[in-house]
Amino acid sequence: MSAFKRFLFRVFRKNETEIHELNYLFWECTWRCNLSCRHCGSDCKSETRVADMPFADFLRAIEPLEHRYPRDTVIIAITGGEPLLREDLADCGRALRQHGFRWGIVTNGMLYDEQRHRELVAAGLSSVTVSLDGLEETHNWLRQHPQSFQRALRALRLIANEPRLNYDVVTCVHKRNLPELQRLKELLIANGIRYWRLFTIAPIGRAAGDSELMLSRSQVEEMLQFIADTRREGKINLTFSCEAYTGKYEEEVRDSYFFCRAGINIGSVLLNGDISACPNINRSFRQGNIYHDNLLDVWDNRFQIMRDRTWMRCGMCTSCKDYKQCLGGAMHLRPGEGEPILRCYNFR
Amino acid sequence: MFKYLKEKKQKLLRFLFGSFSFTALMFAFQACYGMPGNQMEAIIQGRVSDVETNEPVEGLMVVSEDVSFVDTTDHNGVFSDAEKRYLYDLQEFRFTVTDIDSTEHGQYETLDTMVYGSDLTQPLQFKVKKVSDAQ
Repeated sequence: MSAFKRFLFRVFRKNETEIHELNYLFWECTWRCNLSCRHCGSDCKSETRVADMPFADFLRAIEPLEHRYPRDTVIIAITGGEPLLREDLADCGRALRQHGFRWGIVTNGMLYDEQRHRELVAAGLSSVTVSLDGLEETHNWLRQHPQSFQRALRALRLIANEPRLNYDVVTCVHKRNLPELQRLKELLIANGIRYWRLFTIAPIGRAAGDSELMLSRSQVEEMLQFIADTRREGKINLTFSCEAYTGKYEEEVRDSYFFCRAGINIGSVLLNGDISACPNINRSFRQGNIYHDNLLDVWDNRFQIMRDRTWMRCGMCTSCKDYKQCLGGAMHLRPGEGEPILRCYNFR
Repeated sequence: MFKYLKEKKQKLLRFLFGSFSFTALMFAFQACYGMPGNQMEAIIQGRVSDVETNEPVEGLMVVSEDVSFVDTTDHNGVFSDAEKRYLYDLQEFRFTVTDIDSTEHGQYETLDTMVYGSDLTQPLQFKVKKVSDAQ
């Protein structure tokens, strides 16, 4: 049955790749951030010389999507930097709703208080992800701010009690918080949190040279086993992020199989106007720029490098028997075209 | 012609995958560094009121076969079955509001309306038109 399901999944994935509907669009609206996390994938800074993207520029770029796709089928993921640093965030969100887009934010929660919560929900916010990277001491160490844990928890309590919102908590698992996962799970359950997602820290951005943050292979397996056990327990909906193919754990750590949808269903408009897929993908993979190109033209006619991934069969993937199921892993783990994958979590 | 047939085949395949429960979750995804995307969680609830007076209307049956919802409005015009639903299809959903208690609370025209998926995450507001007063 498992082999048949995997076969069906590959047919499904091929079909989705051919259709390649754009229904998840990141907007990197700012590089400003109020934290300086040790593991930041985008290497954001509290002070940046790069100005925020004017919302009017972004809205103009996505206008063709409004005519192509039915209302509510495209969600805009507003990210940064820290999107709550934009004072016009609610205005942006309200305008997105008026144009038929759903929208959500990925936030560290520092500025997410009750007033902001009400303002954003009233502007049609539909989905939020908050980062919580361990118990108080560990989270504050990683985020390098003594208040960051309490602020994130405050945000989560507000969000979890808001029936209109989709949400989840994400935890970047590293050497320090791995032994804390059980207690962190209990803390989340005690606070009414029902959706939790774990991912590991990619060796990119600021984390690239920090060995303290990277899990060993046996630690990754320990984390996957924790996810599988927690899912069987059923007290909280825990998943492993779709960041890597996990081999024998594929049916135990997620609701569906690994499928990197970068460039297939996921696109992005980056701060400088570049058009790409997920913002954490190497910037050399950019496919165009909203200031020179039509976003929909770029989506329709470029992105072949992400839709035909045969080039990813290099390095350790060359002789891997699971390649047809994994297709060379996640795009963000490729430093550039033709480059081998930075790491692999295939457990047999 | 070839392109047309190819698109038909792709859409048929998609329909077939969406029809089998063991693959439905494949449509619900989120980018690995993004927030939850396509799936939507909603408790369907709302209020039915008279289009002219804005007064709540009791005794109307609210039905949506698309989301398996049935409830009857109470004296505040409120309907809800308090069941949490996970919706993966973000298209429109049909709702009908039908008078089932004859003229006990007045006679109202049947309302047949479409609701956008994302609007299901907020209390619905339906307006109905009175045909005759209560007897």
